[in-house]
Amino acid sequence: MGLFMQAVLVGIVGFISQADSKLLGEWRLSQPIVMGALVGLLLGDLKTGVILGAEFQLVWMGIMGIGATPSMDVGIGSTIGTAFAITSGASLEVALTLALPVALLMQYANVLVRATITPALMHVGDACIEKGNDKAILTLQMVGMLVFSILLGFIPCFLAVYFGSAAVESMVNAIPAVVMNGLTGISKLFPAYGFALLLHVTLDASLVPYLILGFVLAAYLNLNALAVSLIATAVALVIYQIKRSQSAAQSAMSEEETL
Amino acid sequence: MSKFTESCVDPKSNVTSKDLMKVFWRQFPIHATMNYERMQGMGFCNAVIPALRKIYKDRTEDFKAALARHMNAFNCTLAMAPFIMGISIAMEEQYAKSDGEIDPAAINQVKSALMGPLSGIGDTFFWGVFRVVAAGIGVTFALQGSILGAIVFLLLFNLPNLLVRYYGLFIGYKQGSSFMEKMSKTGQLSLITHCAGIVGVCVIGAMIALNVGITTPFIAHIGETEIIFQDIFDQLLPKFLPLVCTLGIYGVLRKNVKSTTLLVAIALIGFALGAIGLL
Repeated sequence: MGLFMQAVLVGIVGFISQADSKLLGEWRLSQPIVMGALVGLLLGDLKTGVILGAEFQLVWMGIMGIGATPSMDVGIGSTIGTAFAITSGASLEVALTLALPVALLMQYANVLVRATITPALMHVGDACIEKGNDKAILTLQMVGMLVFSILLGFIPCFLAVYFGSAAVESMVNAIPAVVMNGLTGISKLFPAYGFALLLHVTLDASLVPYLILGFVLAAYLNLNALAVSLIATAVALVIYQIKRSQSAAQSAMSEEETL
Repeated sequence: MSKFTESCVDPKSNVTSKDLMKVFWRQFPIHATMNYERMQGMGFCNAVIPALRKIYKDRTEDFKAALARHMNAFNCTLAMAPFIMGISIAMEEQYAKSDGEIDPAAINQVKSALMGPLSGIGDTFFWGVFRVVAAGIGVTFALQGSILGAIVFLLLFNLPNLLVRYYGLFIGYKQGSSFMEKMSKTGQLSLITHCAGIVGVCVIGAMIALNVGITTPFIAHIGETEIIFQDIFDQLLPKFLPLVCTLGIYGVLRKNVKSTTLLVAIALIGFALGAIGLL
């Protein structure tokens, strides 16, 4: 497969990454675990793609698109990172180091689009409604979807692979051992940052016991994520039933009092 | 159309379950023109158009006014938005029948009032629980090189994703905001959120042990004896370093340090520790 073709295919994955939220409303195709697999599938190295996708997923577990401000673009970051690993033989550590600035840069590019192009589309929409042209709104939505998906999806991924692969390949061969060790250090710490971010959003005092429970089940009993999530679901159902019957009893009591 | 969708619409109403299905398909691209001025405003308007067309049949000016109303600022966790769309359509119907007795401004007030709390719940469920649990299970397969990881992840996430959107739209239309009121009054809503949090946090705890692979290659030589630090940590507590590092960073986050600043700091620390052979 020629470099141009590879760049086009990775560009298509980038397009899908943006269209996931803009066309489908977030089916989570843009999560790294899916993006990595897609890049691997299209570039003919499924295994590397799938594993890199999983690693990126862990590193970026804590990045969440909450609120109106865009967060780091982990979809495009993991797409380009995985592509470099396959086209240039970059290791996970190097791929991560390249993907990180990409994800940050795309975040700012996203801010730019949301501040300029899409508000303009919206004003066109206002004018159409004034004329009673309601059909135009769907068209404008699709234009917005294409702007995001091409400008922030296809183009950066295509350019990165087409113009970047050779540079990355020569860079990969020239990295001194001490820098490589440093990059390994970064890739070891980042998942901890991701899970800390997750805890920051989900943890409150009443949930601390379950954090301990999950950790112990995995660290001491070596249960995997599926087993732990099933146990957690069982515990959650029990707690739900107990609390439900408690509040039912309470409301029955208060009704008796009012009688 | 299914029994459920038929049961949600009034046979006397102009809005049929078929129209609501059109709204269901059109709610997916709600984010397509996300912008800083009115966020998902046009996306919301686009979604409810099929219902508004029926409600304001032959009333061009009222139809235009309704469209303009729903171009207003709107921002909500995407999967929760259909519920608010259902409520809005029901309110538009009441307003259209009321001969101007109802203030149409109330419609946008209800939308604004709901999007905050629903986003809070939605973010917990869709970012904090469904995505994390699905990814935790998917990663187990994917790390072994199996494509099953991505497939399992998508199936596990999208089952609740699609169900909440579908039932949200129809229940929102049928029961209006009384559904939310009932849920929060009886404490149901906070109890369900708490129970979902149990699953989410428990899996996060497991994933810290399973997937945060922090180990140290550092070995101290004192005279003849070698001290392998990793062995000491393992004896102390399995997965000691992943736990301590995650909780340490969590502690810093709680002090309201900007997450991007922290990211850069962690990259620098990680690089330094790696380069000198501690990580």
